[in-house]
Amino acid sequence: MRDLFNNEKLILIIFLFSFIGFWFVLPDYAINTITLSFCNGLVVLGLLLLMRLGLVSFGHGMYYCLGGYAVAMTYNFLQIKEVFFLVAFAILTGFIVSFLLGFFVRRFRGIFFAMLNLALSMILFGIIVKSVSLGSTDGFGIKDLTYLSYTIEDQKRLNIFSYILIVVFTVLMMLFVMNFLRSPSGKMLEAIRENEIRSAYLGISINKQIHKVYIFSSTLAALGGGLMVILIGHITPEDTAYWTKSGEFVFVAILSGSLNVFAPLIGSLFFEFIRSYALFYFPNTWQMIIGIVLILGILYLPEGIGSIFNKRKK
Amino acid sequence: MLLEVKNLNKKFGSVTAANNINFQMNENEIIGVIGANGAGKTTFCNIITGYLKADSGEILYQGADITKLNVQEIKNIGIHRSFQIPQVFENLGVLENIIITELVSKNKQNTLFEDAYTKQNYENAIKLLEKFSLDVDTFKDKVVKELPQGERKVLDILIAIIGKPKVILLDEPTSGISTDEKNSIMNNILRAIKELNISVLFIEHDMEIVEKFSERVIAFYNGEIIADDKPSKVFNQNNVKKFIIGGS
Ligand SMILES: Nc1ncnc2c1ncn2[C@@H]1O[C@H](COP(=O)(O)OP(=O)(O)OP(=O)(O)O)[C@@H](O)[C@H]1O
Ligand SMILES: [Mg+2]
Repeated sequence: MRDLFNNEKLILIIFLFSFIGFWFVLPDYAINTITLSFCNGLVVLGLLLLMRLGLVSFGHGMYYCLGGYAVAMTYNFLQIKEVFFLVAFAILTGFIVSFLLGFFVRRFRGIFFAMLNLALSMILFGIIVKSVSLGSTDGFGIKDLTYLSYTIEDQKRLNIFSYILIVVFTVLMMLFVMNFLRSPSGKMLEAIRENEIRSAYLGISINKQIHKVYIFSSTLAALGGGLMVILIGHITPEDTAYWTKSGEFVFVAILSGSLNVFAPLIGSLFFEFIRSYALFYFPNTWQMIIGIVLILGILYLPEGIGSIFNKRKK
Repeated sequence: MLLEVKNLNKKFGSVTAANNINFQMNENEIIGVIGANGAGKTTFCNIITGYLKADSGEILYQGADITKLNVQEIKNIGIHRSFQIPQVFENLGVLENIIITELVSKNKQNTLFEDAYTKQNYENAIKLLEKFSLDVDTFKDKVVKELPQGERKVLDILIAIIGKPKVILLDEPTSGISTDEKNSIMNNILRAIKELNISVLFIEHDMEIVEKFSERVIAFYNGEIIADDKPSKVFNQNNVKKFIIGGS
């Protein structure tokens, strides 16, 4: 990828400070949409990693859900209100579950990989819906949080602390993914996607590499879910583990493309803003608007939104 | 002796792909392998490189029994191969193909905290292109899928010598290459390989190429080696004339 932006890190810093700056200039509803886009964007960032491997998961909502429930349940059952602990629990949950399931899913490719993940997410959905102790369809809510033991007086969920927390975590993850994709280890993904016969002959441990990326990807999704609960204060299985949510993530991932780490976030922002505008102006046909956007995207930006950033040298 | 194959047999159902094969290879030899389609040439390569397991027989490398080793183990002791159908990373650049191969051969598949595509790595990859006398300017900015078939083959072979093998098996290095180019491509490949002191066994259908580039020829027919000698002698052998040269 010699074409890749030489100065990705600089752009990332500009990206970070612009979004921190937006807090002071943009209206509340826009900030709200941005923050939610970032939570969802983390899941899409995770999907980008899988796409680099040539894989798609139709069930990434499962990890989004697990991360969210990790936060909500730790809060409700263990009475832990410290945000950094809650986030750590979300990450840990995503890590452990994907580590275990990874042994199973890493053997599958293509549509089988995608559908297997979908099946797993529907199982999780089923379990939550049927379990009263897990809140069933109502899910869980959380109330006031502390940030490094500093309690927020303001009852609004979206405040400068939660905003900066989410923006900084997201940018940090973008930085990790960026570095990973540039590293020798990250290049193995492209090798595996391109040719498994050659990769195996070179000596790449294909299954282990897929497993590793699956864990990385799923943990990002779990973090996204955890941050989403901190932002919204509530979680239900319907909005996270149900297949339509996973479908939405795949939709945004395709719209965004996998050229660089900005694409998932820009794609996610784009999607959330379109959705909120379309919902406002065309409440009954907003899905159609989204569909048209995807078609236009496929036609004019076949490599995704990220290609706006990556000017290909010819 | 570098490589020795003893009483090798392999059947696919009723097809005998290797029929009691005995073969020896010395250091720095260049051996051409001929035989009609389906004679068992690729199968022979596949068995030596561990892609297939023989029904019976033994393979010795520098005196050690390697019959039971797997593909990676055989590769690690120094026997590499190229593929009849080039196995390359189609959507990546030529240089990136080389760099990734070098990274893996340097055991960096889990290395996280450094860049993969450094200036240094690009320079090394370009040096390798030069070693194979490839025109650096036309190759360096190309994605593999833009390359003609012949050049893809060369890339496949070039990748196979990364990691410094002692023996390399080339499965039809010049198939799909126009007759005019075959000579110069073989010249470049073999010169680069000789410089590295690698012994070569190459499968080839073009008799002129075999005659010109090999010091020794083995001829396959129905899974059997029916001739093993200097090219001029093999080509004059009656059954070789009848079954292979006449038949292909
Ligand atoms: N995996 C396999 N399963 C079943 N039969 C096989 C397999 N591989 C090879 N054969 C058969 O074994 C015989 C030898 O095949 P092989 O590929 O070794 O021939 P070859 O000499 O390389 O031919 P070509 O010049 O066409 O490449 C053929 O009859 C082929 O159909
Ligand atoms: Mg063959």
